[in-house]
Amino acid sequence: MSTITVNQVTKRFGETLAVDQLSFDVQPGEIFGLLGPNGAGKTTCIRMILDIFQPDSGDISVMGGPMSDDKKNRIGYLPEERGLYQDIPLDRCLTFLAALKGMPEKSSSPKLNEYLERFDLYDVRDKKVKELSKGMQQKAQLISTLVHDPELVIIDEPFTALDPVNTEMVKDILQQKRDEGTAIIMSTHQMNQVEELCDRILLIDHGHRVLYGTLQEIQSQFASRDILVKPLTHLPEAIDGVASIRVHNGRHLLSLEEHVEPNQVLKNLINTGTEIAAFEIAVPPLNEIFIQVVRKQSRSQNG
Amino acid sequence: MKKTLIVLKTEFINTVTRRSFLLTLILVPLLPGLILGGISLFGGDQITDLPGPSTQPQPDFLTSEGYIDQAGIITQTPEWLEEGRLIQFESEAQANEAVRLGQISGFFVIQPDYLETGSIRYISQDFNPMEGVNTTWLINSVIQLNLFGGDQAQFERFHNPILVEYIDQAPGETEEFVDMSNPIAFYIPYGMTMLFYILIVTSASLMMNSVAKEKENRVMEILVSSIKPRELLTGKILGLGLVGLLQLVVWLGSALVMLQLGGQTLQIPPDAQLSTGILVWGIVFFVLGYLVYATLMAGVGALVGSIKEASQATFIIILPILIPVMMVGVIINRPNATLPMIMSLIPFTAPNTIMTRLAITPVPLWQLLTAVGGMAITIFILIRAVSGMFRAQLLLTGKKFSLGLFFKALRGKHPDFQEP
Repeated sequence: MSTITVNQVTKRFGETLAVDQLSFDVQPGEIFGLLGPNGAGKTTCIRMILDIFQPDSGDISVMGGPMSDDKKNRIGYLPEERGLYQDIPLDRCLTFLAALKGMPEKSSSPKLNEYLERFDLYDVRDKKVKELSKGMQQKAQLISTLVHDPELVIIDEPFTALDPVNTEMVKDILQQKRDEGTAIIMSTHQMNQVEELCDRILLIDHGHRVLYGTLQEIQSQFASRDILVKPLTHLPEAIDGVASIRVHNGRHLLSLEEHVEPNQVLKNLINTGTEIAAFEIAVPPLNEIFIQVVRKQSRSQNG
Repeated sequence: MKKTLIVLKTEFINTVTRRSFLLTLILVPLLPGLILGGISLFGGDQITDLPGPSTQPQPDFLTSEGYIDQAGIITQTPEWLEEGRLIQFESEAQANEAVRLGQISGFFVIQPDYLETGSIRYISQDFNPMEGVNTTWLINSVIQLNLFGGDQAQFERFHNPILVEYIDQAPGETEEFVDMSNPIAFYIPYGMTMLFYILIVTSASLMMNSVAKEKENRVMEILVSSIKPRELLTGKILGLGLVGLLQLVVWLGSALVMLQLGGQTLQIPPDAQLSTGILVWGIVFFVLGYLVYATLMAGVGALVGSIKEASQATFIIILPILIPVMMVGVIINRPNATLPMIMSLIPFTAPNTIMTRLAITPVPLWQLLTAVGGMAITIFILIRAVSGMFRAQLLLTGKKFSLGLFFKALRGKHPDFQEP
């Protein structure tokens, strides 16, 4: 059973069409990247999943049906527009937010302490939130998103304000949650994190679905006829079946002639006596795909 | 329901543990306490009310005083003057001796040329900051009576030339009024209007601050993804209502304690004392008034970008409950006239209008019940509208607050608030 099924959902605000006939699903045990440029409709989509807004048309099924109070308790949400109560101690703030997720104070306390220690916030738990650094507050927000062991986690830009050490820790936690069967929707503009973490992605623009599928499927859609080679010996200046050779990030980017297969080029290279450390089909980075697709959409929207 | 209780508890604890709240809670009763203490120290020892004609001035701190009538004008004293309150002396030496022995706090010397100059001297042993404010009314009344040749009736008519009795010709309704010639009886309805205005507005303002803070702290989206806006609003209203109640109990309690500690008693004439019925209606209209204004304030809090931005809106929102304060004279003079009756039936002006009227005269039951019903319906509609604002305010981040936006949002007319 899908954790989320969005079926032909449309949402307007006055004259603005925020989401248009959007469909996708999210499975348990996957990290799902919800991507798109600013104003694409990602946040509206998330808010409809969470029942903050109602769609104008279409259906949304969460954990097998419509949203309920019980299901809200099984969701962890870290919105883009986020914050904490600034004038109260950190542990009181987290206890309150956990209670709203159905965790009584008695059961939330040991769990909170465990997370506070893991995120290195235990010693500052009695301090007022406003006395904590931005990074500390970000970690506290992640705790409130995860402390009740949700089945569905929706996180918007989870790595903002985190240093590399904490970024790694959060990535580890997300991967661990995925392995435990949690469905995770991650919205971010950091494409390197998407490439590293996401199993599937959905790219929306102007409320429309533009790209949808596994990372591999999407990257192969955009793969060019280029091959990346890392030779151990000198690479010949001319290779049969290769139209041009460029050096790219310490490796050689070979552009193939038409109708030539990569296998044939590999054979030709070996025949020239070149020793090879790495030979791979060049896959465009997600960042490039994102820019390419969004620019194309923008051109078609403008006319 | 469970989440409503969680919000209620958290809201209560967060507010009552705030330093600014604790300071207000303690300082508000402390300041009048210090003033009362000062009065006790420098002034008299008992606050009382004297029976007597309406020409009698404000209640005073009772001490004996003396006078020496060098002009020879005082032949009579008012009937209501207590024996020993104003003692005549023949010479300054005798009066000074009485001051020294503590028999009187001071004495007046009516100069021989008083009729030409109006000159009177007041002599006392110690500095008293209340001098001149509280002591001259007595000798003033005595001299006025004697200037009228001792005619008590003329003296009374001079001060109160007309006492109008308004009679409305509504069939079957007889009006019973509290005797407004008594100053304390007059100040009770006036105080009631002010008390209800202050209580409702301060409690409702706590609500606006709380919601605006949540918006400022950007926690609203996390909240509405965990709890229904209506549950959130109800929990907050109840939690802050309890805070308001706590404040009321502490303030009233400390006022009583301070009065007792100071050995002072406030004697209110029996016909001006508040009946149990008024207290019951008082609780009903306080709760309803608080709910109306707290919900409106929550709406403002949800739409403003910051607490500062809320100040101009707050004035407009509380304007209706200010109207009875501004028109208190009209209500006191003719509590059952058409205008006070209409104001009693409008949910936004009803709480303090009705309480002012009840302090003076019985209010027809149908008016009380209509007001309660109207307010209950208004509260229901407002809670629905403001709950919607809690969701829709997420779309308004960065938009400047305006009253137009607020009233459109309240009626669900703003495009951003149109939920299917």
